[in-house]
Amino acid sequence: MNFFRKYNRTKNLHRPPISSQNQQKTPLPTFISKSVSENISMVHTHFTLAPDLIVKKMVIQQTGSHAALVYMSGLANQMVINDYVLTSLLFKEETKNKSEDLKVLLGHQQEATTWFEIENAIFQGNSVLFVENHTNVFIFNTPGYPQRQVGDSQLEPSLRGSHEGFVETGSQNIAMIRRHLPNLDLKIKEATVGKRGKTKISILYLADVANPEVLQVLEKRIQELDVDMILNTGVLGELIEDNPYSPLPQFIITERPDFAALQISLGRIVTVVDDSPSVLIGPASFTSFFQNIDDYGSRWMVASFIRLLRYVAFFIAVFLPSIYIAVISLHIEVIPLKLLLSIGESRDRVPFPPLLEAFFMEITLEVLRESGLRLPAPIGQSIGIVGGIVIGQAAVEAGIVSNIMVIIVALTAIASFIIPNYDMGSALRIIRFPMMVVASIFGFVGITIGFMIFIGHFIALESLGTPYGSPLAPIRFSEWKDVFIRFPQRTLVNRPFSTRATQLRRAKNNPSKGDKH
Amino acid sequence: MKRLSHIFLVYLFLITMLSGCAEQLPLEDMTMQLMLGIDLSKDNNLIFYETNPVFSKTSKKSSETIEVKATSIRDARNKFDTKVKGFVNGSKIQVILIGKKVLEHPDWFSLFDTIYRNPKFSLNSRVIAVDGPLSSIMYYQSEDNVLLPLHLKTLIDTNNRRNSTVQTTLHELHRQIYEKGITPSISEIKDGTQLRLTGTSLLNHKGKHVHSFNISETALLLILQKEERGEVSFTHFSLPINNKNELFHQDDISFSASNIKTKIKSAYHQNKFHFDIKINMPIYLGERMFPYNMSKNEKNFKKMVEEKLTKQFEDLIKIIQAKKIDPIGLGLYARAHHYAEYKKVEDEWGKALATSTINVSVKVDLISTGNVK
Repeated sequence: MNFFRKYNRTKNLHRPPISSQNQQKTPLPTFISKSVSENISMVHTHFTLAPDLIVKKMVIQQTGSHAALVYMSGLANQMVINDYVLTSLLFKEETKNKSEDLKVLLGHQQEATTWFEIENAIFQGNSVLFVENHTNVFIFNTPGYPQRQVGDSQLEPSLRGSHEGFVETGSQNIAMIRRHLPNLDLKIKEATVGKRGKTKISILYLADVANPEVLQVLEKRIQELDVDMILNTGVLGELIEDNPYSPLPQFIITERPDFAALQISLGRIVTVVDDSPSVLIGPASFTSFFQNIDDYGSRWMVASFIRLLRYVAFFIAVFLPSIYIAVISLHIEVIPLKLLLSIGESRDRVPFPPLLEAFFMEITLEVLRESGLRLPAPIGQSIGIVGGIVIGQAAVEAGIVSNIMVIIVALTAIASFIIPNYDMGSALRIIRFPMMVVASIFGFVGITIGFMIFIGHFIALESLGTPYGSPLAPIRFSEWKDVFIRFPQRTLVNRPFSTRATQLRRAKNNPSKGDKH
Repeated sequence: MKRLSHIFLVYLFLITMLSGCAEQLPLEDMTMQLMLGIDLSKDNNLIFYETNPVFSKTSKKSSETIEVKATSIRDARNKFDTKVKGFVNGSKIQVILIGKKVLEHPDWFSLFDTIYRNPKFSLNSRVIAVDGPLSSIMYYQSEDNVLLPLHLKTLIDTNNRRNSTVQTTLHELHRQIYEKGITPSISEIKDGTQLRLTGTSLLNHKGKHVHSFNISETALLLILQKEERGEVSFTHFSLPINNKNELFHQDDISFSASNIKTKIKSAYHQNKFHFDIKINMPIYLGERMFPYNMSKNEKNFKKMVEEKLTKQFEDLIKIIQAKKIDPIGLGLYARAHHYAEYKKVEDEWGKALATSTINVSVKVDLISTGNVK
């Protein structure tokens, strides 16, 4: 690592400093001037090569003063500007009104005095009105940038959960969460991150529940960020996570407003990134990645069964190929004879050692998965058929892999897809490969050591300064009510310890059975 | 972080030093022995046989059998290696066949030393005595190409569940050899016109074959050992009634007994051991070849069955005493209750048992006589 650091340092010497290009241009002054024409020329010098900038000069009927309206044609809604702003400014004559106040048919209207605010307002789709002899401008909220319809979440479909997923507009996403939690204690802290991207980031939490220390950690990490832009939630998550060298995701990224609202109510903190159709939830614990909104929508026995399946699937996804390799190459004694005979029969034609065979199939599977994902939906399906039938069947027929290996790989793939969180599922797929290597060298001992290293890492890991393994690694038995088995709702009265919520109880005195207490 | 990675490297190094895992051998490079046979040739040379499965689809046979002349199992393995393509591996041996010619010589058990010494050997292999030359069984090829080792293993297991033979694994044999209060008993097969199970071979505690029990005697032995499984079926059980018929055995009944309770009590007086064996047998009548008024004469019927059963048990015990062996394991009772006296005769337990008195009494409960009168 030290070597790379030195290398980077020497490289930086030859690179010109980033800010030098900016220095050649005269910076925007802080405050605006009284003259409209001066202001307009200032706008034109700074918004160069911006053909979508519209500057409309006019005389306001209400006060008789010269003015100019500035907005971006693609970002602002021109219908709103025409109908409610221009109409009232140009044609409504109100002789009584001699004050500074302008009357427009818009509810949301702000005043600003600095160029910085004006620049931000224009880029956010607002229209800015410069008025002669005013050192302040009027900002009308007229956004009209392209927006997507709220639809079902693509990545996390559910049976019982709400059928709305987050969209790319931060304010809409916050509104969706607010609909689930109409509470005065739902606080939103805003920050802007990225020198160029200027992404609006909103931190949502329940003031009387979320732990202030955790909040402080999150806020500090976001504030200290010095980047060009935040492309989406994943980028932010990677920038502020505790251990970037861990294969495990340390934040839950979700597309579901109902799940986000549930996590807020449990004491977690949700970070909404504007322009990104998902939100970041922290602090996350390992077990929270195995929870799904449907667990709470269906009855507890069914939910528990499915949740147990997920934990079984976790072990299958991580260990099955490595156990197969270990057994075939080192411990054939543990296989029942009849199975051994059929494995032997199918292995006989395979020219590769078990590890290579497994790697070949696993990589084929990953390639298929990724290519299916990148292709448009109709072609993606045919890739599945090509992969599943042609490659699976033909590879066995040709004697490249054995039947059993195909079954193992298929099981592993299915098992990794049952994990409700995409990031966790992908992480498990990655962990599988080193496991396969140690299994082929050291057999069961290797798998055990591999698992021990995983557990060691898992225990040491933190998310926003809270233990990642909770409630398994600092053991909290009382919280296991919502870990492997989802107990009946009436018994789930406490918030998880892993969120370090300041209010532990979230429900009380529910009848234990029907109308009996 | 740096310290942690150092610790990790140390661990990695230590792992590579671990024994037992270094020998990586994929399945297809292995010659899995499924059956091991030991026999004596006419000029008293040890001959070892080995059967392993053949996976190749081009081969017509599902298994191949190899024989070598060798001095021990270990020696034989090295010689097998020169004849087969893969490394010979004994971890999946299902059955071990021993020719009766070998069994006739005491101390053959020392041949098995490597099996117990080598941790990779399977101790669940069934040990079977073969009446007749081993070669005829080892090269036995059934028409439907079934793997013989698997066939033999299931033959032993299912017959043990029907109480037709004992189920002596390598592990159990080890106990029976080294336990002084019991003598070994192993399954016995024979290859006549067809391969079949004949019952149980009884060995003395040096391992020498002294007697064989047929299938119905084995059932009685299993009852005395308290090792019977589920129902014990008695057939061709003729009762003393005058209803002789030349062609059909019209004095026969068949019945099955389940939940048999065997109680063995031991005593020591007049310088010898006394054993009192009480057997309580609930029976279900399955077949009666003669007319009989059961509702009137049930007591009489029971008495006839009891007398006959007692006689059979007594005959069995007489044989055991005459051969100076103890397959029942009565020595274990003697050791438990009369330790001092047993300790004196421990090394000659068979002789001591031959001089002791053994009483058997059978009590029969007629649970059901079937659907018809």
